[in-house]
Amino acid sequence: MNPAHEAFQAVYLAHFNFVWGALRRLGVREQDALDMTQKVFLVVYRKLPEFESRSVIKTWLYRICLHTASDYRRSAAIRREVTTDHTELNTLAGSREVVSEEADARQRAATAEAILAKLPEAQREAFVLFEIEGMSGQEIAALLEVPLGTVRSRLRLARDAFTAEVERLSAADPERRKEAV
Amino acid sequence: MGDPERLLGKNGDPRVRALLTSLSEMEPPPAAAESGWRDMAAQIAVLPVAAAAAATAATQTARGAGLVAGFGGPAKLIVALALTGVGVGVWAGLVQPKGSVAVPPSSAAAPTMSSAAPPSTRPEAVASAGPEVAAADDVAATADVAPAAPAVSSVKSLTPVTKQSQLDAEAALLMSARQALHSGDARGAQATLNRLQASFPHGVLRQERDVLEIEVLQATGNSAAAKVKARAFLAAFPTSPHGTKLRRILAQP
Repeated sequence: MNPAHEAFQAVYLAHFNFVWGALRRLGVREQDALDMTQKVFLVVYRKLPEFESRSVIKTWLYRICLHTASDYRRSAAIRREVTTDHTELNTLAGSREVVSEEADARQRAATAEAILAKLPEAQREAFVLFEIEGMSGQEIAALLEVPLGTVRSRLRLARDAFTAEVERLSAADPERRKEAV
Repeated sequence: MGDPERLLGKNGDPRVRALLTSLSEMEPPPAAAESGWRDMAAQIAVLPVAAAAAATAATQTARGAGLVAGFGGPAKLIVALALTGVGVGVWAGLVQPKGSVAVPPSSAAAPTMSSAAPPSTRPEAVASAGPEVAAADDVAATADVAPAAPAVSSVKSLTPVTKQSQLDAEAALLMSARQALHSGDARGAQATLNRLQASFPHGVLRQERDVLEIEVLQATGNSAAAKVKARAFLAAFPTSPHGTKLRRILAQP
């Protein structure tokens, strides 16, 4: 195996889970996540020899994920299938069929995904990067190439919308107020 | 004004925290990476010319710039860093000023890598540089940018062969420790980490070594000690890219 392939394989195996998870949090559905992950790594394959490590490799990968997820979300098929319907969200949050911890976690993730899907793309990216990926405002600004003030504004709007939706879901199913999410 | 307190923090609404935690714990199916790699290998197998061309171009550019390390060196380093779980910003800020375009994405839609410039290294600075996030590369997935001249800031800052060899050796030990841990041999992993500490007390991959040690402690059921070390690490390297992983460890009951 030549050095380029060797380097690529190492990056692929070391960061596969990271890319898969990042794409899921950026709105790629579970059934499409593997395909989109492969798409990201094809870009990585093309560009790995150019990677100069001026940035951390995860930051570099994340930027490719952002572009890939953005293209994905813009496709008409995906837009039609995004769950933003209140009734469906309420069903997700209030399901009584949870029988195991794993199923419970999956239900929570599905609810969280559905709430994220309601956010505008720019707000969602800022929210995910800050709240879940643990990046700072400065890091997000550099990654998205927008001013720090813009990041904070998007983040504030997204946080308000996210928490408001959680409140709404809890109010919609008061019996499960504590365990619904 | 600083960043707001994270919703995942201890003062956040527990309902919101539960939802965010579920998102952060999303994982692919077991062995997805391995099966995915088999598919990927088949896909890139039909593109050998591109990879070879890239390697050749990079090597030639490196030689042309008078660098000691050709593509093989950087490639090996990327392998090492990838296997440690994180790419350290080894060349961060050393090649070009922030915001400048050193090497744009290749212009062809197909995976044709026309002008891959080699990373230049300056390990003497690396040793003291934490893996801070610098300006992200311009890697727009669909961008079409004409290749520019390769960026090499200073021929004076050449990589001494000995330092490269040391880094290779350090990375090899770290990989060995990680592989031992992943194969269930936590004791062997700790032994290798001890050797790493003794051989490279101020190594370039010190953060990765520390994080792996915390993982070993966790794997051996010593979560209290793991948390103490994780807190100390976060205090020493608050902006480390390992922060997310360590905060997850700290959040565990």
